[in-house]
Amino acid sequence: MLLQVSDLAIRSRSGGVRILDGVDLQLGAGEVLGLVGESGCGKSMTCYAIADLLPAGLVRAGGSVRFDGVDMGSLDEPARRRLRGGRIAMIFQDPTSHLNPVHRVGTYLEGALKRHRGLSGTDARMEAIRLLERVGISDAKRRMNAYPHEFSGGMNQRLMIAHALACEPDLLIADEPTTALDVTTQAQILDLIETVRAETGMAILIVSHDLGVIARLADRAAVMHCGRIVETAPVEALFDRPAHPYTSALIGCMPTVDPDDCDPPRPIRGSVPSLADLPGGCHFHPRCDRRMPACGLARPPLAALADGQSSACFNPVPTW
Amino acid sequence: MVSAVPILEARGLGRIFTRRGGLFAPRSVLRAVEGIDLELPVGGRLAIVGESGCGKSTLGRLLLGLAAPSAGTILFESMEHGHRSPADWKRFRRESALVQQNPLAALDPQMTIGAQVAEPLTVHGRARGAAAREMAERGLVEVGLGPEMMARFPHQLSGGQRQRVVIARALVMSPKLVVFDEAVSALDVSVQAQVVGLINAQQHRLGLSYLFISHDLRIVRHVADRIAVMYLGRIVETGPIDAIYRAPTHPYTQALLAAVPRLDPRARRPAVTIRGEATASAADGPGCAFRTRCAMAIARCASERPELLALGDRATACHRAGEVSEPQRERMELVS
Repeated sequence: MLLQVSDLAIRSRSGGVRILDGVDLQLGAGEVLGLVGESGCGKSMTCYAIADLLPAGLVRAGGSVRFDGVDMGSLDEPARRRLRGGRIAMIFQDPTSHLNPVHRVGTYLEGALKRHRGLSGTDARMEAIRLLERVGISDAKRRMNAYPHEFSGGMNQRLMIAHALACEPDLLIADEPTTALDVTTQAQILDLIETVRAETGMAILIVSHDLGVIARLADRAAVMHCGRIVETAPVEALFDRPAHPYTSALIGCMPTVDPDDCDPPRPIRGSVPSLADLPGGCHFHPRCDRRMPACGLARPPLAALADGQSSACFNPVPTW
Repeated sequence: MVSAVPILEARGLGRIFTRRGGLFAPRSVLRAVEGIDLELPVGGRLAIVGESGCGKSTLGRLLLGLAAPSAGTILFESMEHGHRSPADWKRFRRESALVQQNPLAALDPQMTIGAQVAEPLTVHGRARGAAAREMAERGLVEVGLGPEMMARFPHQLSGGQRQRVVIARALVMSPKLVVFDEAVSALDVSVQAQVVGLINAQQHRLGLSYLFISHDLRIVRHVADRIAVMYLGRIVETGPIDAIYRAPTHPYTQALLAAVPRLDPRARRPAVTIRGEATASAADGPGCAFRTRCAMAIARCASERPELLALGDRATACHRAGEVSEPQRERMELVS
């Protein structure tokens, strides 16, 4: 396993609020894992915890993250810094706000090439131009002198991808990489991610609230709800026969453009509970159509079904 | 089709924004909306879709009289916006409403929910005091919120609840016309589906006529009957949603629909991917604004702007409308 997250828990420093609660994830080399869930479910925090970028105010409350067999918690800060941005690269939802507005595009890429690959001068410049061309930015030589504000959102996301590729990472963490983009630009960026994955063989952890994006890119998917993984499965199985009622409900409320799919999206009753005030037992039970008395009392463990599918539910949707 | 006089009509509507030139920057002109003709029948549900910067929000603001057009006319119940007296405007404000994307920005953090929903009633002199409060409470119940919400403040509500409050406030005056501008875009899908159900129920109850502005092609077909696709300020294709989703004729509509991710992991990558991005300068000059990104563009597309030509109850602005693009034919063969 390239990445093994075990029983990871994150809570707020000030006290009670649990952001992540016993998260288990595995990601093999070259695999694309999709992490899907509604806002506030902890999918972005999972990324930040893996990339060792937890915001101030949040602390690790248990569990471990092993990358390529090494427990990241056992590494000192310089070693972690080499890993982060080196073997583990990350791209974000809003690329423009993650880029330094006073740095030229070229400076930004050359900096990464110097830090992680020891390139400088003409070598770094040539490599930076090559990276820009690779992510589909035309007229790369001239664009090296541009600033991020001169780029569109789609071009800035291409630039972030070029920066991530600069370090030849083994793992790319992509946190809602297309959410802020128009749908035609989204299609271009998803194509690009798929292309660079095929070329480099890197593993990708892609986070999205959009099941369509997950269906498009992922080999396997994990569904998160209120800080827990409730289901994980190969992506075909997840869409064909979701086992957890939350997964099934989430698929049911996604509208499509398919002219033959006329059913209106089926809402899930109630609203996503606040992390500060979670219902006991399974956090989904108050909104669930399949709940049983036990669901409010105990937390259902993530149990293996068949063919690599697991679900954390006492009364899963029959999958035969 | 409803044969009666449309509730809302626009003819040749345009809006230009000019950016004052600076020391180094020349004066520039942005044609946010240009040459828009549209009709909304009584009880009609029209979706306006397009990518960011296509002018769809500006169009909504023009139609509600919240921005002044640079060209063209708007008629609401056969009265031209340009000919309204202050009293006529006040009547129009009573009969129209706008619901925007971000409910937290639309609500006053220091006022209770009850006071905010009741406010339009007192402003327009429809009701006051206990009567207004009672109407507000009924309005909240209509959108599925309990009377206990009356005393709460916006920060105590979830995003979905806030959007319901904004809708309740828009509907409390029983308006004839509503513009929903990305009204469900910021909501989680499970809540989005609830609000879509709510909009449909209220439309049915009040016989609302509305425009539903959105970038999301997946959601609009569940709240609208007809669609108008905008590209750089102009309508490029319009018609009944089902017919257009089944067989889009404008290459931009085709690309837009193909770019929407499917819920099927086995679906191939989109057959039609358009290159590049919309640049406002492409709308200047004589040709079709989409030609720079269009796989079907021919010489004529650069020299002559295609008119929005009607064919039955649909219309398309493309010299090659109806011709099936190569990638699309490939996809259709794959399906059959």
